[in-house]
Amino acid sequence: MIGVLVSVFTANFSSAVTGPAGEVLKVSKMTGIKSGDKLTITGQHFDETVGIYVALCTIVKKGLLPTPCGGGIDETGLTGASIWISSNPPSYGVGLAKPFQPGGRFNVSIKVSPMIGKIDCRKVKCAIYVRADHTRGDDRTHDLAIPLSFVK
Amino acid sequence: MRRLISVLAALVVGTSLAPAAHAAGTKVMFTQVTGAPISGTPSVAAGETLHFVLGNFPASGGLYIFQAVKPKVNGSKVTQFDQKGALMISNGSGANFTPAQVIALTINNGNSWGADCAHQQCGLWLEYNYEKPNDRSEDQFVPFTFSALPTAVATPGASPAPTMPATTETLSVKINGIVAQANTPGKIAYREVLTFEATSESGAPVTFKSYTPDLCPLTENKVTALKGSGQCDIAATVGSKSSHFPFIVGPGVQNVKSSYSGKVGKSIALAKESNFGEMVSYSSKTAKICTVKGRTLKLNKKGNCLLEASAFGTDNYSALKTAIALSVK
Repeated sequence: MIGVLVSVFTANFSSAVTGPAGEVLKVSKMTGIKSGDKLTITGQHFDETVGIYVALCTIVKKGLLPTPCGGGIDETGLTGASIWISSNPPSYGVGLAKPFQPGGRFNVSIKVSPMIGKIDCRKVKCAIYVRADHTRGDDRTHDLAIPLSFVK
Repeated sequence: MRRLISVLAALVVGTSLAPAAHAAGTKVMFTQVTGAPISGTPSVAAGETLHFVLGNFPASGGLYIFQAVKPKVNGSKVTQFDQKGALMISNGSGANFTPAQVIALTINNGNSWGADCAHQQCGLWLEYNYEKPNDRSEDQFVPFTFSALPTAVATPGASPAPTMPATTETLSVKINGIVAQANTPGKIAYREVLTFEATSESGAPVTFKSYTPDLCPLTENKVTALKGSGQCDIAATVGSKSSHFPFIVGPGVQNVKSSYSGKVGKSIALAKESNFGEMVSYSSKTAKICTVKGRTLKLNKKGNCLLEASAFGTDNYSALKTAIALSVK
């Protein structure tokens, strides 16, 4: 993940990152983000057999679970700060999880706040993360991140 | 059987080191006794029975399948194998199993045919039967894990394992409207949707279940594949009777809108993306009739306009390269 993040930073704040399996994550805006901004996050070539969360989280070292994240685990679909994308969710997730579109694609919007609980993303580094959903909570091989910069 | 043995012996003597011409087409899917697929490489002990089904069985000819030691050189024919235990799989007479059946092969430790499966890699060996003795294109070694201990040991005096009551219920299953045969591997492409319908003789309700829900999730009676490779299993169940319908998953077909029409002077916006979301690029093969700039098609003159559309592929679907024709009026 560090490598991925470094490549994003050195790419002069590019808003896209490519994962090890060719999956592409894009965010509509990376810098100058204000509270309440709605970010559009798109993905392509993701592994559709693996459900994912898209969320704003604090940046963690590679191999660690990205946490905390805005909205936590959104099993209800109500919090709006994290989005569950899965084409094969458990039975309770049918209707809550948004399925991938063919080609491993998704297109979601997240309304962001600089605060994740008590953590202030204006003071610590935060990113839009993709990670495997709670059915594979320990699987770090699907983690991808694009760092965000909030207006101070 | 004598003929089978003599043919096998001849094959060993004559072509023991002949390399396989190319990858075999037949796919081996290990299963439970019911035909329900199992994941990974099975572990079997001497005296236990290995069950499997075959996909992509050759249209002509039959196969021999027998226990063997892995060839020392990849692509070579096996030299240590159990010719007495060989099975012939064919739709013809004399076959031990037809290609559509769940095949059962009892495994041994290899000692009787000069091998030691406890210390050598044993597996299944497939090759064409006597009908095509010189065709090596179906040669294939499929490993299994030989276990020194049986997976279940019977305890003297113990009660026999409970068995499900016998049922005479019959199931009729259709996939996309076509009658399907249980335990016969079918095909499903990435993102193809198959619709299951089933009726039981008694009229009792039939339920469906995907035994491979990650790759082939089932929504009500519709199943799709989320990758372009792998194996899936859908079961239809009525009462205590289940029928399994295995599938080999293959890559999807990428396509793009190809129906356009227009008059001279008109500009047409061509489709930006394929059905899998890949960006499509276009070029005109008839520049006097029509030209393309980006994804805008300009119709310059009456006649037949021919375009070429292309897009990248992935492991799940092949690249797109297709011709699009339209008549400019």
